[in-house]
Amino acid sequence: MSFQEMTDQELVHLYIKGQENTLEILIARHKSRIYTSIYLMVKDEYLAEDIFQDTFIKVIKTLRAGRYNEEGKFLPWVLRIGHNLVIDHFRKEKRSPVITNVDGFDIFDVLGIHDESMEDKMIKEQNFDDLKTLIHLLPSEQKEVLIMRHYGDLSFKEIADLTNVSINTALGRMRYALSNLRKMITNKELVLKS
Amino acid sequence: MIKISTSTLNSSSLNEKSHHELIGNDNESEDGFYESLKPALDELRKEPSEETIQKILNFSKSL
Repeated sequence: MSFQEMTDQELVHLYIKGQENTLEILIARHKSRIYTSIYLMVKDEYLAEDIFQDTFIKVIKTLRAGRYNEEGKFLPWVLRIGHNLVIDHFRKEKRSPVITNVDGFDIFDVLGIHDESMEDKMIKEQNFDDLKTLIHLLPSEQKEVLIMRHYGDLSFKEIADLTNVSINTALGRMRYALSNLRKMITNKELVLKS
Repeated sequence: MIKISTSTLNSSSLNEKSHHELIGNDNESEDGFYESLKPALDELRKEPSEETIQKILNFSKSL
């Protein structure tokens, strides 16, 4: 069986036994889920890179020390570490995430350039930026659940365990997040087309 | 170009207790909304840089 076909647990076992290259496969398999989850919480690419790195350093140290709990799944465990590091960061900084407003300045208005395809592209990018802003405007507990569910691909049971709430509370927070997002998107007449 | 200002939105106004009316029994509608939102949410996916991944792998090899 190739490494690519192996489960996370099998790869983790091999890594603990000294098969160094299995770590690269685990990272490749989950990097987008983990990094996006961190990035959407901290809203800063450089900080997200640092926290992503710190997350895996902690993962490596824990695995090498033989302290990995085999009962848990690998991805929820890594996301929990990342989540805790994000919380630690905001505690240290003693600040809440800052909301950045759209300033409305358009260089193409100044230059008089109005290429239609470019404008379409900019509108699309602007709208996705706005969606990101709307996600940041959600109350933190709703934002957390949305990010863990959609980007982390966690079950509501896993989210409930990670955030120390009941499954019903996690489900409710997801509903509130979606309701609030829908309301904000409607109010702002945001058009999202990929 | 559509310009959307979010400056007047206040996250505190979105607290759960004050927004029960947003939920109601409209779960099916919420599911449909989520399905329609998924492609846009997916557009926000990002990946860490290769440099960061290499640093992690190098750290692992150094132990």
